[in-house]
Amino acid sequence: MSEVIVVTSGKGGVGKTTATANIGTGLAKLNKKVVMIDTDIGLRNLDVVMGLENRIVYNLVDVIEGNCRRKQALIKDKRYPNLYLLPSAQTRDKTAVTPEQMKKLTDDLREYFDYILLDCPAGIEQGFKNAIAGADRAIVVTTPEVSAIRDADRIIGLLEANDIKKIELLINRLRMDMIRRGDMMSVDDVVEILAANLVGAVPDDESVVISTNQGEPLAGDDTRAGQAFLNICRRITGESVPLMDLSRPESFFSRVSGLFRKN
Amino acid sequence: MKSIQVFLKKNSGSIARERLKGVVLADRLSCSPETTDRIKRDITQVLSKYVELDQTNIKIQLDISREAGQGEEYVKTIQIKGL
Repeated sequence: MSEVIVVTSGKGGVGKTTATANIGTGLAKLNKKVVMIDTDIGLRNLDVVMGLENRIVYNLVDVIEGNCRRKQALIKDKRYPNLYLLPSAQTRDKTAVTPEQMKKLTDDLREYFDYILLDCPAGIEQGFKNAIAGADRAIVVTTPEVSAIRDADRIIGLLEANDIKKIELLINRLRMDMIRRGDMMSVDDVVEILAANLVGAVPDDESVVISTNQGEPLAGDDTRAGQAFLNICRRITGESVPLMDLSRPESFFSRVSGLFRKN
Repeated sequence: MKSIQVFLKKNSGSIARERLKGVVLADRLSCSPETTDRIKRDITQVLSKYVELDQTNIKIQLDISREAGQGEEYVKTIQIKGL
């Protein structure tokens, strides 16, 4: 059974594209067949985060308008046997696509993939409506900041109104030092306010910036963020994985995860 | 109540949490924070017609419960004098 998952947030800059890239990569590492679709028409970014920007020939709008075959626009990520990207168009705008067309596209892709991940644009307008049209499931990305959480709450309301049954929360950029001294809301605080199921929490880690610079997603790497993303992927596949203890010092965690990697 | 809060210095995380609860509630009910304040004030007035309320130590909390089968409902916590 394949699943269409939309990664959304409402607010911009909370890490939707990074989360999509890492969830896609992590699921591919778990041997799932995955396609990531960048639905942010006019502001494409998933291709650069994935390091696949030089391989774009056709894009989402070309597929929808029938300028090319679906297969021609899908970029195969050579690093993983089961990972594909459908990039967005950069020179068009959101009105180039309708929700019905998006739903048809995602439904057609179900036949070939286990997971279809949609990177949603910020906001609640046309682009958001396009992205959620064909989704079975939503991952709402937020950070522990008042503006991001407020927008996440709005988005959850809109997803519920659009009959998306499975809505889960991903809390990004947690800073344990600030939470410890009471200057940042904790995972529990955010979950309580939003009354949503948690799919995972990702620490604010410089390795994320480095991996984005390099165009190499870090899911599954020996970093805390990499492990957090891989745990999220496991939970998406239905595995029950306990929440990582983010308060542990990095060196100790690295050593522990290093032990597991040798096996 | 207010004066106690001034003396107990709150850290910014809990300030954020309290503020968010207010705005999120207002967003979900599609009414402004001022409106929720008025709801609280009206509830106080209605209740004080029937029971003796400790006006100096009153706290009304509006919350949305999303438990299955209940729909959305208001939870009121009211301190009544002598209880």
